[in-house]
Amino acid sequence: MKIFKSPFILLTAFTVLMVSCLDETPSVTINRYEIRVEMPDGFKPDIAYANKTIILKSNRFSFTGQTNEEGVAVFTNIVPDIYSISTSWEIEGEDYIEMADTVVESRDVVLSGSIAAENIFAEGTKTLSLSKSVRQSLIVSKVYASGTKDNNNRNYVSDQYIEFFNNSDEVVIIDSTYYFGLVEAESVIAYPASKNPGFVYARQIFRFFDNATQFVVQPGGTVLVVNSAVDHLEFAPLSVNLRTADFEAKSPTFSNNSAVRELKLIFSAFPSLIYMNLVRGGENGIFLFKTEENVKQFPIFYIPGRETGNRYMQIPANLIFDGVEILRNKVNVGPDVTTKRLQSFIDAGFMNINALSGYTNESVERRVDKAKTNGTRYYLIDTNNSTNDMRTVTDPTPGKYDKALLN
Amino acid sequence: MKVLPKSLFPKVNSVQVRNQTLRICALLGMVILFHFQGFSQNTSGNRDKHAVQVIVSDSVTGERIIGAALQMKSMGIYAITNNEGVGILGNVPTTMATIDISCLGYESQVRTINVKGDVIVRVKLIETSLELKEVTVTAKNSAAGAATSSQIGRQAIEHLQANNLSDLMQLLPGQLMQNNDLTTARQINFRTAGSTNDANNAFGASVIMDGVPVSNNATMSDKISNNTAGNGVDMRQIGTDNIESVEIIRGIPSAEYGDLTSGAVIVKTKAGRTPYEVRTKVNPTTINSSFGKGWSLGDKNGFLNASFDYAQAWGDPRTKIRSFDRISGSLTYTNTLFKIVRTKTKVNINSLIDWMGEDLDLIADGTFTSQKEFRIAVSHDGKIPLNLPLARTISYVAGFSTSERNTRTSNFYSRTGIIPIVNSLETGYFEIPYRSSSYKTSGGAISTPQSFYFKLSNTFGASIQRFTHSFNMGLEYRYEVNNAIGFYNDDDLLPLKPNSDGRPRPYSDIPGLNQLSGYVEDNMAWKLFGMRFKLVAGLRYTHLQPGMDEQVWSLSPRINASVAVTKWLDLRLGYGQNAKTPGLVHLYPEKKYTDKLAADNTGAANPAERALWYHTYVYDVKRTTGLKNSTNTKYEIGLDFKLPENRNISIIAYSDNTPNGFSGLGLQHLYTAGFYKAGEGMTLVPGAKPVIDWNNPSRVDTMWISTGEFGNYAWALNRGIEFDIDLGRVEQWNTSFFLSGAFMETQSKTTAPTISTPDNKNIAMYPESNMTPFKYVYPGGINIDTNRRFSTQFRGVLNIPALRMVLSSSLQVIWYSYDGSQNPQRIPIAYLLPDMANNTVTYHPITAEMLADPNYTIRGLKLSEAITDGTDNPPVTQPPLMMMSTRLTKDISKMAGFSFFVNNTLFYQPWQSSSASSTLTERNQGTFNFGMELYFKF
Repeated sequence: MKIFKSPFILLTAFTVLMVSCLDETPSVTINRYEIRVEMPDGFKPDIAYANKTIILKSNRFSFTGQTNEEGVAVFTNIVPDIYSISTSWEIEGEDYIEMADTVVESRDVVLSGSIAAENIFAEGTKTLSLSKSVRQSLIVSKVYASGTKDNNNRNYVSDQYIEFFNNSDEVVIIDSTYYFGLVEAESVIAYPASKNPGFVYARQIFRFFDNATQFVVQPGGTVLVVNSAVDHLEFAPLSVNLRTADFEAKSPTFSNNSAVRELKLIFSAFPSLIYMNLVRGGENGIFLFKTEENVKQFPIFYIPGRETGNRYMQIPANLIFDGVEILRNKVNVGPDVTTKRLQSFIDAGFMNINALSGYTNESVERRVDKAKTNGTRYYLIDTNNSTNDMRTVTDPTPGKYDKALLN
Repeated sequence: MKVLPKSLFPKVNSVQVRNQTLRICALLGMVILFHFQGFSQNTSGNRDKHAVQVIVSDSVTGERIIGAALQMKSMGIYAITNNEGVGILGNVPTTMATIDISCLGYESQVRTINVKGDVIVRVKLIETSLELKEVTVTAKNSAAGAATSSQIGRQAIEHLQANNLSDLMQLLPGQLMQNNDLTTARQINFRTAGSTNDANNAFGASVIMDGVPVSNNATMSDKISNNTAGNGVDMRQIGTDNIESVEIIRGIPSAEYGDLTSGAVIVKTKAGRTPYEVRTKVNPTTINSSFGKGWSLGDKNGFLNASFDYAQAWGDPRTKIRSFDRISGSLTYTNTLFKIVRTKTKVNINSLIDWMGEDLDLIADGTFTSQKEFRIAVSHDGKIPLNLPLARTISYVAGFSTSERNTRTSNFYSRTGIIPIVNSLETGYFEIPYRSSSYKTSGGAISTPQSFYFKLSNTFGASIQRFTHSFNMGLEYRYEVNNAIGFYNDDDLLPLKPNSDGRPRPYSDIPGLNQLSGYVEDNMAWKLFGMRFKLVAGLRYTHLQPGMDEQVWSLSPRINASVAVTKWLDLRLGYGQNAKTPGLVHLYPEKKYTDKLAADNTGAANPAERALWYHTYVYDVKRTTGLKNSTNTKYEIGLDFKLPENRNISIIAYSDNTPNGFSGLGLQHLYTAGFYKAGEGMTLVPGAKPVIDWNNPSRVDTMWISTGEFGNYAWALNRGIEFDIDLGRVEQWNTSFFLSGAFMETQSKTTAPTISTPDNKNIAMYPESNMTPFKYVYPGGINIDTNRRFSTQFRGVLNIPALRMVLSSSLQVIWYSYDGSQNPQRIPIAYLLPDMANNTVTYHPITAEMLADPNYTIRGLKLSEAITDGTDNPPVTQPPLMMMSTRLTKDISKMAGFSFFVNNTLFYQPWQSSSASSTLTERNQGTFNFGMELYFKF
């Protein structure tokens, strides 16, 4: 056939063939979609959410837009999908004094807002309400739950840990009023944040001390809590040395280091799990709170509609001063944002590891605030939106922030 | 420390059951005694005695047939045709009697004769062939008055292309069609509607090969894989190509059959002259080849049959991670000694290999599990036609089998956290080795169940007044033992199971099982008011471990009755009790080991300082005393309609209740152990292991453990209606039609009280779940699981004799399936407190007043929180589901033929949702399969 001897025709045919195989963005788009951002109470009327970034994110697409002087972001030509909407604004203490409609203390605050799942399939307008939170000193900075593979290439999870970071310029003294918890992680979510605005339901609550002992965290310092404070590199080549841990959840399940302080278990929904029940693949909402109340007396509840099974402790959300939502990555659909257990003023976003069930050395770690970081110490980004503040890395290392992905 | 008294557990009405049994037996005895006044004079009698000479020959060639069996069941008379094809039934009284004539390779015949004097009966047997107009490729129901059973002949087995005995179950009414998968143990369940194996039902199914039971009584748990201990016989070991016929008794069996509850499978292998026969069955997951031949060794030298069978199977040809190999062979020698004594001697050898490992496409890391079993069974039986009035035919069976099951495994052991390696076999504190990550381990288990069996029986018959009696009585003895080394590790520092279940356990310290049984049965028939009555009444006595503390016995009366109300209608009734003795695994459970962390310094930076101590507590159960036989009571009522042109309808309603199947007992036991930590009983020493002050623990924990004994608390009720309709043959189409099916219901529950740890949130107080200050006792038997199923199978069998071909199609419809569980409100009836001062557990009933007080607390926990509301999940029902299968058998010539099958012929795998969920699931998954068989006979 003479026609196939023509290089042009062959090239054209090849191109058509290849193009036909490309995964194209659908041609139908939404011409205009507005997001109107509403400031929280306590600000002067003329203060608008201007010139800030709004992020639309679905499992397939991501769009960003800037708000105008009226606090409205206009998105054009976006692909119809179900999107999460999020934004945040860090305000320095001095600026906050200027913006507030009453006399306030000079504290850094964060304005943030998010909508977990919004169906955007036609032109329209959505109002996004912001919430205000005072920027905290002690924040969740690293969550390593995925585990790794041991020397025999078998699963290894003894090296899980959580790290907290003092992001302020002041010393934080951890005493018996400091707690952290892990949210319930039922396979079918029992207590979604959207239906429980005032509370978070915990599967485990730990306390740093149950006596007058204190632990001083210097500015830029960390608190490392682990299940087993040993050098795990002896057993797993890609693991971590946790001998320098500050607290260890003592349990017969793991090797215990007598030289490390005991993390006190206050509540566990599962009596046999007395160590930190970090789920490898996700569903690890971790929150810090402070109270002088007797947490052991906080009420516990069965899953709504049931009278048996697991029971979870109800923690008032207003006690919580920081939290990170880590969701499970699901086959083909990615993390399900409707399974958020932490309210948006605690964490307006979410994170996830890439693996479905872990053993991949993946650690969720907070990014470095390069603008503030200087030669003497690190500052970490804290906009109360983990999607913005954190990244997933594959080299878990306690105390280490000079990583490319974090900078 | 003391064990919680067994009085806490109800007796499951065993006393009432036993009293009821005794009453029934006494009544039965009185009736028989009354009836048998004057019995001796009637049997030894003055009546004339006649000889019935039966001459058996081939219908085509006219050649006399040697070795055909002649049986006059009503009189208990038995004979074998001699070299002239002649058999003589002697001393036959004047009577109307039927003679069953059967011979390997021929269609059986039944002749009714009126014996008034010496008679000569000429019988021409027709060779079994597809050239016959009547070809039986379905199961045939038993006649009214006998145990409800299905008879499956050689042609049906061949047409089904069964490669193990369990495949035949799908021919029974209500059973579902299935693919043959040999890569997992196959056990049989009778009349259960659930989709999972019921261990007690399977354990209570008796499999009898040529008169000798194949028993699982001496099988012990190998702790590794594929275990059949306390469960049914693995049917994969029995290939089907050497089987002549199978009778599956699902109703009330004859008193002759014992050590069973759910049913019996009676297998008769080939014995006699047969052509060379080579068969190969192939389907995507299995290859099965066999060879068989029966030689006539001459006029006086009897017959020798040889068979060889090889099967190989793998679960999924795409990922070969499981395989199964079966090699079996047998030699059977039959001869007639002294012209009348028919004997059969058989040697059977089986070798089974189960293998599980990594897909060959993956990088090999040396992990696998294999189970090799080698079994030799020798049996000898004989029939001696004494023809005495009270001893017409004496039969005996002796069998011995020994097998070695060698399980080997190699794998990586890993778990969350540290791996303590506790090997201690005594109570105390021990410093133990440990691993901090996974390790490669290997080991295995050797089990050598052995069985000796002997049975002596006598049959004779008599006509008394209007009654015809046929008696069958006998004695049985069996001894079963297992003397192997059991579970072992190749290296005890790298154990297969570094936990309480991983201790070695030699079986040699377990005594053997002695079982004595006796039975008597009368098969009566009489006419009254123009109606024919049949009654089979029998009584069986079973005694296990006589003279020992753990001895158990049972008396099992059984009755099958029928009355021919009209010529076309028979009414059948049945009542029977059965008993299954416990196996070694039930009577002699292993010691219970409980290991608990005592002190841990494994996290020390300096390796010289690292150490781990555990406390081991050993509870020696020794033997389960008070365990009873698992008993079963069956009731049946049925109607048999005989319609014109050999059509018939059989409907049977049944109830099959096992109130006391074997189950874990859950007895509670207490002990204390100390816990030590740095500064509190454990002193850290720089550069050396810590020093433990055993007298000053940080705390002393009271631990609750269950003892591991067995009880009779598994309750199951199977009931339903079965029907089997022979719709007759449409001659124009050369096709016969059959419709069978069943509505079945299975209910199951555990009748033992439930002992539960109270729900507490104060985790710091009770850091481990078995360290609770008390336990609640909830009543047993309130949670009931129910399964129901209504299914039918419509079969069309096209038989074209001229083409020597049979084509059958089966349309199975599951019209209704129901899966529900009833979990009502749970209210504790008592609580248990540890009384360490008096070294015991105390039982405290919970009264109505205590329950009425919402603030009543027990050890600081609210009693009201122990009351849990019911959680009845809505039952799951499925929409109707259809499946069709097609089978073809064709003789290409006199010497060769083939069979072909397609299961789920239409590849119907619909997406359907159940009543409980709108999620669509694909049904009939894994049912499509096809295969063929080639056979040569020469």
